[in-house]
Amino acid sequence: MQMNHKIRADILSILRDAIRVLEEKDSYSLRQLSDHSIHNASIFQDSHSISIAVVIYALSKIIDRMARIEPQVIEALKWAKDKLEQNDIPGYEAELTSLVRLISDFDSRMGKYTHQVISEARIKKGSRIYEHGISLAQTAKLLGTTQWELMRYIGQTTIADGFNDKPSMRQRLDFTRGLFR
Amino acid sequence: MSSIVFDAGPIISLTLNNLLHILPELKLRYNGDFYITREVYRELIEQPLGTKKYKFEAMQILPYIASGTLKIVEHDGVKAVAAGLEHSANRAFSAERNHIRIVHPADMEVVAAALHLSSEAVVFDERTTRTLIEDPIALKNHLARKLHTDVIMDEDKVKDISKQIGHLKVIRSFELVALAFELGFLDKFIAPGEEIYVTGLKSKLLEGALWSIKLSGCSVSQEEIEETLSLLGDKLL
Repeated sequence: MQMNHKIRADILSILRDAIRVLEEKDSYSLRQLSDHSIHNASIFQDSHSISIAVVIYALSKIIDRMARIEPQVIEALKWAKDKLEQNDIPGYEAELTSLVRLISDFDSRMGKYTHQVISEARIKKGSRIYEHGISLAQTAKLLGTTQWELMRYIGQTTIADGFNDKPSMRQRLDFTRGLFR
Repeated sequence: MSSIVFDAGPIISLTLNNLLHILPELKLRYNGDFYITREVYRELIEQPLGTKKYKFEAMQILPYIASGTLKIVEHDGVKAVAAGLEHSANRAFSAERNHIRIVHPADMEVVAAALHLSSEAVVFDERTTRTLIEDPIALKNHLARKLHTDVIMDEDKVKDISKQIGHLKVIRSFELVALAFELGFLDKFIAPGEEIYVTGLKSKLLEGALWSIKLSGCSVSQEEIEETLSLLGDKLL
């Protein structure tokens, strides 16, 4: 099992910082850390960059809601960091999976019908990848979510604004009128 | 036969805004067919039917497929053309010595279907595929700006893509809704007597519909909404 050298270095840096800011219950800094991996997630579209972005963002939301984090979450992050430092990629992936399970358990204890924190994190991170210029369908596939979810979220932000102004609005309307004359 | 091919996004936008009814009305005025691809069908119907969320929305779309308002393109050649387009598009831009996969096979299937049918237009609400068709240089500049790194564009690949798909005309659900308003298809949202309670009903209806489409994820700017309101001003009286 291989991991790109740059991606591994970036994830290790994120994990070290995340453990520190989690202990400080600093959700804002956690979200910033999550955003760091979106750069790699957009370019390399690897599962590791995407999953760490989702997990760290989900943890920031748990801090927002609970104002605390359970010790086993920090322990799991430390284990994940150790495995990655040892270049044990399957071990790292297993630790991240256990983190997702812990977060999902939190959701079920909150009595939600769906795995809300993780699915919200997927949508949020997906919106950032779309913002970077990756198509909606490709983003939905990468994040394991749907275009329905992404569109509804993206529409509430300025992300959906276009970035090309040709043809002009007048030309677009005139062309559309011509189709239905 | 003339045709227009729809991506999933515009149908999602119309569904989320209770505006699917404009499709048969527009089709009556259009001398041709509206198509979706098999992958778009999967996103609109099969996928949401397997979940709790959006199942009801899928059930609202299904009648438009069953009635033939939206037909499904079934042609083996479409997938082959789509695969070629996807291969080129996903190797056209690179950063950090890595090709950036900007599109999904489903995006290119919509484009390939439009090529196969010699369609008059494709309908995309998401901006990446639309910009790839209309202005690939703008897409390259956007990628570089957002990724904070050099993005290398393979000019031969981009020329090849533009040669194949650059002639396609792209519209959004936004333009369809603006036109539907102009043609009076949204008048059903105004009942006799409402003007006693609210003034400028038509203006509010148009503005509300256009903003709702944007807020449902259609890639359109505030400036474009304002320009459209100004361009359709004479229809507001």
